[in-house]
Amino acid sequence: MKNTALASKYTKKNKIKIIALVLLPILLAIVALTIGRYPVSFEDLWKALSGIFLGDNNLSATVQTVIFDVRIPRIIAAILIGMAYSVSGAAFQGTFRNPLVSPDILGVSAGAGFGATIAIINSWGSLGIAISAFVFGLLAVWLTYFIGNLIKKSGDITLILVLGGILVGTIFSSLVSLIKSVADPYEKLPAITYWMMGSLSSVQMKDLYMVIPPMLVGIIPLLLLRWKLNLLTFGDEEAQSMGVNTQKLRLIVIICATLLTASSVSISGMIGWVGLVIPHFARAITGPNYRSLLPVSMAVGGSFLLIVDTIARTLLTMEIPLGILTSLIGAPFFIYLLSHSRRGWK
Amino acid sequence: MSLEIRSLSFAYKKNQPVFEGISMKVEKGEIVSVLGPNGAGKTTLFKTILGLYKAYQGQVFVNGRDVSNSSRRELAKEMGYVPQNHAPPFPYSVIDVVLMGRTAHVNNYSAPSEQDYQVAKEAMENLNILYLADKIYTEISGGERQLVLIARALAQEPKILIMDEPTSNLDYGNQIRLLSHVKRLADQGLSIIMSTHHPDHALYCGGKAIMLKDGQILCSGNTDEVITEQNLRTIYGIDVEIANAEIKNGKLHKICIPVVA
Repeated sequence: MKNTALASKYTKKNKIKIIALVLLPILLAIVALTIGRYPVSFEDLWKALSGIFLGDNNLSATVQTVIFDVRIPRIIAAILIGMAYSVSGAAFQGTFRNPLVSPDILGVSAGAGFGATIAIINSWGSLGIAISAFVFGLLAVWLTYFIGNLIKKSGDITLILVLGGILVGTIFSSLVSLIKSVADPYEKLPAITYWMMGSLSSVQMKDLYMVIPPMLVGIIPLLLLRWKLNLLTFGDEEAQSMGVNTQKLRLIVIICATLLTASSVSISGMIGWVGLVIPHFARAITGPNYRSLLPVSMAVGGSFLLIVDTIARTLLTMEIPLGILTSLIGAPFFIYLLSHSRRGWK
Repeated sequence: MSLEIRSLSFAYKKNQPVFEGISMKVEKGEIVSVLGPNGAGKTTLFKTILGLYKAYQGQVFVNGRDVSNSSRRELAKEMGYVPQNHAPPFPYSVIDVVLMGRTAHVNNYSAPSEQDYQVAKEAMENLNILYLADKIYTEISGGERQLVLIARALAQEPKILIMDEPTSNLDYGNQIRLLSHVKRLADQGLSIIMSTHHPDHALYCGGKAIMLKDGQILCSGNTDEVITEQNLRTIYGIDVEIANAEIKNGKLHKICIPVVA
């Protein structure tokens, strides 16, 4: 009986947090819909949204275009990509038992970026970009892990994975630079350069239709298996002795996390730091248990990227590339988190 | 319930076995202490019994059934492992750590239920550490952490507990407290295999003992017969005298006294 109290106290506390955090991105999305170069009043927004169900909304074509063709796809994309990067970062940190890894640091983003660059230069279209990004992202994470195992005997695996990721990341970024140096300077080069900076400015509804299925394929297994992710942080042998098939679980987690990163990269370009910072922030809110960490990371990550993207499109008259802004905000924020959260990282 | 190991051997490289020809039998409620110098292959032996390392030769039988084809989940319900002290990279709460022992009983795509909390809580109560439940695992003392790891293995509800040097890193009082927990768990019907560097600990626990040297069994049998001056000299290379000390209640206790030149 006393135990039941312990258990429900334990889950109830987190349930409230989780509900609050699910509402957060929705509220932010409503606010973000009204902000922009062309301001939309809440009244017009209500008319537009209720008009979806009621049919006619007697709003001007401009307002409708701004809401439905420009802002809604972009806002959904920002939330999805923020969620994807955060979940993927949290999952990588668990499987590699390392609070310092993320899709950027493991070289996954750079690999996916290289894959996408190849697709752009060959004009493979958006599906081609997505597939190529995924294949090279997976190759990058495998290379990092392979290098880590190769030089493991000479030191701490935590540091070596970071080192391996930096090596792999450098190789892929150099390859991207190589491609850029030979790319057509009028058409391909600006496309690649702008794309590498990371932006959501050209996201359309059709991009979302293409990216949502792979994101679901990546996110659903991770959510279902999230409690078991905890066991991987204790190392393979302990997890196995408690009844986990670690090879299978780790493979599923790496493929799903890479799929999430690669599908994000394929529509938004390189957006750094989210995958590293958000899981730490979430850990500070809810503790390291993946049962609540993963949903909280999703909500916080989605909200974070939405806020940053809204700033990116409204702060100056010109659009600030999103990837640059996340790095500018993410890096100092990470230092703050590391120095202030006792529970964040041990 | 019984665990039987038949001429088990393990090798990283062909023809260079870490240990070979290990056979032993453990009955329900029995304690088997494994003694041997550093590098004798104790930890490797345990990991092979647990199926974490693939045996080079020989078999492990639980209840007469060869475990080499059992799934991780099935194995975890039979054997619990208490590793040497360690620290995970993330600051889990103690109850979260103990609950992880429920993995083999929790459905693949779900999380522990209220009933699993109950089992985890009982395991902690059994070791008198329920007060640690909400503490952070990475911030408690080494002795407490060792007990948490045992509670986690108990939450697994195994029939056999395999403990790798459970008393290392513990202070004098905690060592003895841990050993009395071990004896009590054996009285509750759990079979226990543990390695130790203290022959006195093996004598205290009673039951059986096995001495390993260079990956082979030097001798095995009842603890009293295995822990002799001659055998200790052979495996550790030092002179030890075994004395019978009479304690206040009149009982005789065997103790090992190293002879320092």
